[in-house]
Amino acid sequence: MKKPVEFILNGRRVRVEVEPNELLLDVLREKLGIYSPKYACGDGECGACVVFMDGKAVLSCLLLAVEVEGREITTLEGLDGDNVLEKLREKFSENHAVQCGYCTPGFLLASRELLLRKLKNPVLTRSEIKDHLKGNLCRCTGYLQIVEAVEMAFKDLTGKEVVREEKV
Amino acid sequence: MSERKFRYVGKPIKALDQLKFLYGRGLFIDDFKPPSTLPPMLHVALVTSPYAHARIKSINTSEAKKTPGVFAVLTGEELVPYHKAPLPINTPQVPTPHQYIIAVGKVRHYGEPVAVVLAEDLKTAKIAAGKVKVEYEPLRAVIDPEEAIKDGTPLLHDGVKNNIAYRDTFIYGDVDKAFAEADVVYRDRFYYHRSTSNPVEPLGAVSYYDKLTGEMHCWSNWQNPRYLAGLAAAVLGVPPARYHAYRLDSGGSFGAKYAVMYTAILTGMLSILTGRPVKYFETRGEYLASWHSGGEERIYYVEAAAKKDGTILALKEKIISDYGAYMGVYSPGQEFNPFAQWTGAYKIRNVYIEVCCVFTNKTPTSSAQRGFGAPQQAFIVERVVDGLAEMLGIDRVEIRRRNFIQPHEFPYVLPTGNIYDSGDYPTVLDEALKFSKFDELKKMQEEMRKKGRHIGIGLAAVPHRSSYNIIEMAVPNPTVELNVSPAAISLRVNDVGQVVAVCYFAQSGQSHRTDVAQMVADSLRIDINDVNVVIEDDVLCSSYDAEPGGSRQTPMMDLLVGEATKRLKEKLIRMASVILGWDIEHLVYEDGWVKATNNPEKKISLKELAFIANWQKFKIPMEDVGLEVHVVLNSPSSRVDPQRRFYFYPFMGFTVDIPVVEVDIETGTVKLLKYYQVHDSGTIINPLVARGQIIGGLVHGMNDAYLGEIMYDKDGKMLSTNFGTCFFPTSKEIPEFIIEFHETPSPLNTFGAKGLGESGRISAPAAIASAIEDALKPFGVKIKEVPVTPDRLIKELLEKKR
Amino acid sequence: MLAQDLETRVIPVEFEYLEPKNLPEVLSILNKYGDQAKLLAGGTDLIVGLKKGFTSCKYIVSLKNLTKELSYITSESDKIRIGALTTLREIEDSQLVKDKLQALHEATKDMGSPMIRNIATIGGNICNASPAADGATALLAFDAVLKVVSSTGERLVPIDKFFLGPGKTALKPGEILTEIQVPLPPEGSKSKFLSIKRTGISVSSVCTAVAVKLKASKIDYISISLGAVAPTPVRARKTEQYLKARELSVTALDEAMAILEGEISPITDIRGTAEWRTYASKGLVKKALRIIGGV
Repeated sequence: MKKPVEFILNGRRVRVEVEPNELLLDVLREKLGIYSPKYACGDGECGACVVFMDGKAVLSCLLLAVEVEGREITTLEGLDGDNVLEKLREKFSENHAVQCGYCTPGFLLASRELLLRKLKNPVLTRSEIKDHLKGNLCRCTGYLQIVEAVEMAFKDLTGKEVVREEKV
Repeated sequence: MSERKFRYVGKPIKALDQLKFLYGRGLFIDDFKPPSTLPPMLHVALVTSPYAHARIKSINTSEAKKTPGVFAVLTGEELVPYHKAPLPINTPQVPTPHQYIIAVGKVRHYGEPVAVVLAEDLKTAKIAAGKVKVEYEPLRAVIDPEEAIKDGTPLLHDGVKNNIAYRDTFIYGDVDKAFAEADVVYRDRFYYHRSTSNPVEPLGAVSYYDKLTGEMHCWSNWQNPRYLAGLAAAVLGVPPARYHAYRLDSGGSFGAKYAVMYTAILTGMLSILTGRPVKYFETRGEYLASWHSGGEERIYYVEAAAKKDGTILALKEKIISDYGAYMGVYSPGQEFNPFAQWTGAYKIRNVYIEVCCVFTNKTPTSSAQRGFGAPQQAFIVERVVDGLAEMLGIDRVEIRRRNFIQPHEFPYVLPTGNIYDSGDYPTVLDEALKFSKFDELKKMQEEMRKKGRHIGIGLAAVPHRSSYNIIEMAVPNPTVELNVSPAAISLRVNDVGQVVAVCYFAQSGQSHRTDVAQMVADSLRIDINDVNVVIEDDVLCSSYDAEPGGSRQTPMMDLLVGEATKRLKEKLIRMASVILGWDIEHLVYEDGWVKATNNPEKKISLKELAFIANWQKFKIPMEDVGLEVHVVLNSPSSRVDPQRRFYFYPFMGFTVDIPVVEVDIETGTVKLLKYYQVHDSGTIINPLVARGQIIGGLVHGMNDAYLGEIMYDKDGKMLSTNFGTCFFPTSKEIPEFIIEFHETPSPLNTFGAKGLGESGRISAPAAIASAIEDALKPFGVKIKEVPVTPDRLIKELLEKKR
Repeated sequence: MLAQDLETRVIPVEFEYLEPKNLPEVLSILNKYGDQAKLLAGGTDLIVGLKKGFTSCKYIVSLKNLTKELSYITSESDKIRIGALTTLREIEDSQLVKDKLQALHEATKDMGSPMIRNIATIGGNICNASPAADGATALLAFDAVLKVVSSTGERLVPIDKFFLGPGKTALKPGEILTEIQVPLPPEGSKSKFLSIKRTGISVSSVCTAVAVKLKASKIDYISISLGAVAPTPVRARKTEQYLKARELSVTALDEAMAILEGEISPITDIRGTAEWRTYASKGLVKKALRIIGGV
């Protein structure tokens, strides 16, 4: 019942034999040496398994591996040197936005998607950041230092300040 | 340390513990692979009970066994001989049948494991688990703890009358006299619903039993393997000196991985049975339902006696605590833990505590959870203070001032025995009112009320105890004297004068490699880049450190670093005395040098001494060989006296929290707008790390206060089986947290640092409940049950309107 | 038998995976295998269902090759057509939807998380038939019409006839939803979507989509739909009837809510009690109408 699946992983072509019911998350972790996306909830609520598929952030625990034939999959391991990701890394570190580190790859990728969307027309509010990241769950940081790190990255990348309305 | 000009302590030094996670290079249990020369690993899947209470009539594993790739399918019965000691529970007077790792004969909660499948890969194991046929005879499920103790309710455990696992009463002072002298008595019933730590990474373990040497190797994400390893080893029949417990990276714990070692025991047992490495990594649902998870579901009947002027004379509490289906190794510690700060920030001298620990058909709550009973008690105390303020017509700020422990009264001994080391409550309160612009907030609230909007301003003044000590476990076992919870550190100076500090505890995000480095560097006055803090990862090679828990690690490491560096300096001076030929009395260690106080020419650097100590040992007397010190120190206070007063949490921090909420009375929803806190945990070693910990804890507290709880239906089926149904807080819910530090150092250690990891969860439920009540003041709604979910809020509102 | 809903790590059932290249192939598979086959669009509901044992099937039919064909948002003079495989993210980002169907825009942009929306489709969401579905609630307020195709032809089903109960739709064996047609609301009308979600990613406890057009401060057109308060999303037609031709005032709204109460039948579940849902529905609908009406 195994089928071969071929796709681009972090810029290189890979081919694996998978069963139809295997999830992309498990194929990446068990067969392709990719450990940054993780299992934490398995039902699409926590964002620990985020990867990029054809440039969009998606949940690899809800994707059948057979579905990604011919697609481009990018994980945190493949984003070294990406200017948005590196800026986020710098700010996450500077603002202590990481404690246990389990949710970190998910937050980096989700934040990268937000910033990429905003680079062309750089207007961003804190409320939008919090909204965008609601699919990434963290239990250590209480989110604020992560949100601040994203704001700091936005400022460095665009020269603009994030609007922190929050008026009553 | 009186000197406050530190180069690193107090500065927001970037933590190096976390850098690897930014590259996805953590080594968590699910990433871990046993050494490649071992036999291939087997994976475990559970067969879990869909009933909350049932007799197991039969288990048919034949079809499951036939599945290709399945190595074995074992029932609870078949695993009984592999228990060489009963699973540890801490209530020996509970005559329960020994709880086995997998249920035998009966299931007592939804999701309880009844059989396990071992297979070459996880998917095969899980598919086979679905083929195991179990016949159950459902029994009536007992869900409500107050129902559980009534006569005639089904018993979970034979011989445990009224489902009461443990009962005890503690009386301090003269409670009856206090009530007789009171001008007013406040009475109420409170309900604090169960929640759970819910670390993003669930529990897991890989065990490998080496038959040749009789050694067990267990890799897991445990929070305190030092304690858990010994207990696991006992159950498995492995001598503790042959049980290697390895510390891996851990995706958060907050107590969930503290008192729980079932992954280690299960995989250890199965490895002994199979001779192969065995892995079990639970699902989110299994974390919530199957083992020991979550904490402290409590019902409180409270009475408080006070004088007209607001002085609180006595506090009387009858507590019903729901422990779920089983007691565990840390039960009923949750009851006694809050004794460390039972009366909060106030001078209440007469205390009556009645605890009743009850079995119900729910997941056992005997894992620890951030705060471990203190959030509940803080909630009660603050609600009582507010309730009395209202009864007596006294302003809630004023009544707190009148009852505060005053600065000159520290160290302050509580009626329950604990000693608060230091604090300045009135100043912190003043700062909080000023910093939050309290009067302006009240004006804003008035204006909003006119527009029909209901803003609430909360106020809570809550201490937070730190540096957990195990003696609370001794209470049900009075014959066992347990009074030890030390920490340990080794310092080694290498031949180029760099210091390697070896610590012996697991971490789940606390950044101790950084704060310990800061403290070592500042104690020795050397560059922080010449200090490297490493964590020893095998418990057998570790020294006796009780490991993080109860906010202990920072204050304890503060204590340890001070003592270890002091001994190191003494060694350096003794060495220098020989090499320089100078009297010890005239030598001092200063800024990386040993100098003669009476001759500026006579001095030798740390680097030179280090070189000599490593390469030219002949130059120094034998006993001084090696610039190494190793220190194990117990926590500054740890005992229970014959009057059952507990001295066990020596460091006491304090916060004043002022959250601002808006309540939409048309829907019952609560929105947290801002959260002000003035935070006093003594000297803050690393403000950046500290802020992260504080906010993290506050969000845990937010969860308890109004967001979510663990829910069951009336038949005991667990409804909260994933993050969404636990209403786990997301980034969308957080307000702006505005935190200011005030430092009242502890006199008990070197830098004066107190612990703060749990502080947020301890104070936030009380503070947010107070804010919601303040918002609903025009309607007279009182908050007595948390979380304040929209339906509870509207129910109360409608009842008041009638 | 076991507590299957605790499983979310793997899919513990085996199935065959089929990759039809076009719509006729999909239909022929559906005809051949009937309810043994399940359609896989975004997968955010189906995969969870397979893990937890809520669903099972022998064949998974991937719709990945039909994306180009069935993913579009186009406008005509009187309606907007949305392909069933359009992702929620595409709907959220559509300026057309934001301009003409505000309630649908507001509903979609808050559904799940960005990662879910990047891949979840409107068709999948509708066919999942959750009583709390935000998107479906908004579409109901707009009287959307669903185009359903089979190998024997196609039919148009008004959305208020499409949901038969929780998880049940009017799809017959061999049928697939291909398009959602949303008639443009009257010129000059405004719409709003509001929901109560306990936390950011929760399923709605209560939600509502309202659309109103005022003519000389009287209500000329009004549509009120609610989700999570009945076995399917519902239209509060009697309430609409009551408010039509009235002034949008606080008094009128209060009176109308008494009627609304009779048009919903909420249950008590983990997200709230029936009593609270009734109370909160009224509050939410009033609020939505007040915002639109500028009251």
